[in-house]
Amino acid sequence: MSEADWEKLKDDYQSLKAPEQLQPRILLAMEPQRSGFTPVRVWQIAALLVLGVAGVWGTLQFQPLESQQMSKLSAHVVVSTGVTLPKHPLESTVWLGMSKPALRSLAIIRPRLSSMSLRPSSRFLLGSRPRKGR
Amino acid sequence: MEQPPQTDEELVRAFQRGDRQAFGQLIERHQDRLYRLALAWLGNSDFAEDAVQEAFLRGFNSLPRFRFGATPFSWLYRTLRNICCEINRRQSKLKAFENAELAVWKDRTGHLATGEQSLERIRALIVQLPTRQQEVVLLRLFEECSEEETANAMGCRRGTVKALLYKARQQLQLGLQEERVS
Repeated sequence: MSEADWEKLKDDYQSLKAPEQLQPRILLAMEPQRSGFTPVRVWQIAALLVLGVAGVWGTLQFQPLESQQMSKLSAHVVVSTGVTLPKHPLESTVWLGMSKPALRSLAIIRPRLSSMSLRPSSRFLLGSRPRKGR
Repeated sequence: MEQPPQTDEELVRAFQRGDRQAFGQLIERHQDRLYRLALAWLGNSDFAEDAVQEAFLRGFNSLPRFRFGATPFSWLYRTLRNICCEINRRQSKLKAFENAELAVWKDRTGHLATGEQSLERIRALIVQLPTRQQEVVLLRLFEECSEEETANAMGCRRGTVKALLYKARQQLQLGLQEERVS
C-alpha cells in the first residue's frame, strides 16, 4: 500500500461519524438520572414506606400479647423453682393462663418445653438452667 | 464576556460545578472518535451506539468525582473498552475482529459507505495483530492520538506504546505485502 493509499484509508476512516441521533439519545438517557426523585421513584418509596409501617403495626398488634404472657409466665416461673407440666402441654393453658397459640409459640421458642410433650412426667426448671452435676 | 471552556479538563470542571451543557460539549467532542473505535471492536453499529451511550452514561455518573488522574478522554476510552469487552463476551458470535464483515447500515444498493468500507479494510488488516497492538494502531495511526494520549488511554508507558507500534508496523507491512500479492 502506498503512502497515498494509506492516507486515503485514514481519511476515509476519519470521515466515519457517529449517527446524528446518538447525541440526543445519550442526552435522553441521562434525563431520568438528572433528578434522583422521579415520579415513579417517589411512588415506589411511598409504597415501601406504607408497607413498612403496616408491617411494624401488624407485628405490634400481636407481639405485646405474647410478650405479656411470656412475662407473666416467666414471673410465675422465676418465683417457683420447679414446675411439672400436666400430661399434655395444651392442658397447661388453664394452669398458666395462656391461650393455646401462645403456648404453642412458647413451645417452639423453648425446645425443652416442646420436648415435654414427649415426656410428660419429666420435671424441669423454667427460667434457670439446671446446673451441671445436679 | 466570559470565554467558553476549551479543554476537556475545563469542561469536566464546569460539569462538576453543575454546568450540564459542558457534558453535552464533551459528548459532541468525543462521540465520533469513540463510535469509530467501538465500531472497530464490535463490528456492529447498533452495539457500537449502545457502547458509546453506556460509556457516556457512566461518565455522567462518575465524572462529578473525577480527580484528573487521567485525561477525560483516556477515562472515557478505558470505560468504552471495558464495555466493548463486556458486549463481546455476551455476544460470543460477534467477537471483535473475528468476522471482518461489518454489520452496519448499507445504502440501497447494499454497499457500505466510504467510511465503513475503510473500517472494514482496517479491521481486515489488523485482525492478525494482538489486541494491544490493535489498540495502538487504531489510536496512534488512525485516530492520530499523541503518544502520551495513547499511553494514558491504554494505561501504559510511552515506551510501551512505541514498542507496540513498532511491532504492529512490522506485522502490518507483512500484511500489506500479502494483500498486494493476493
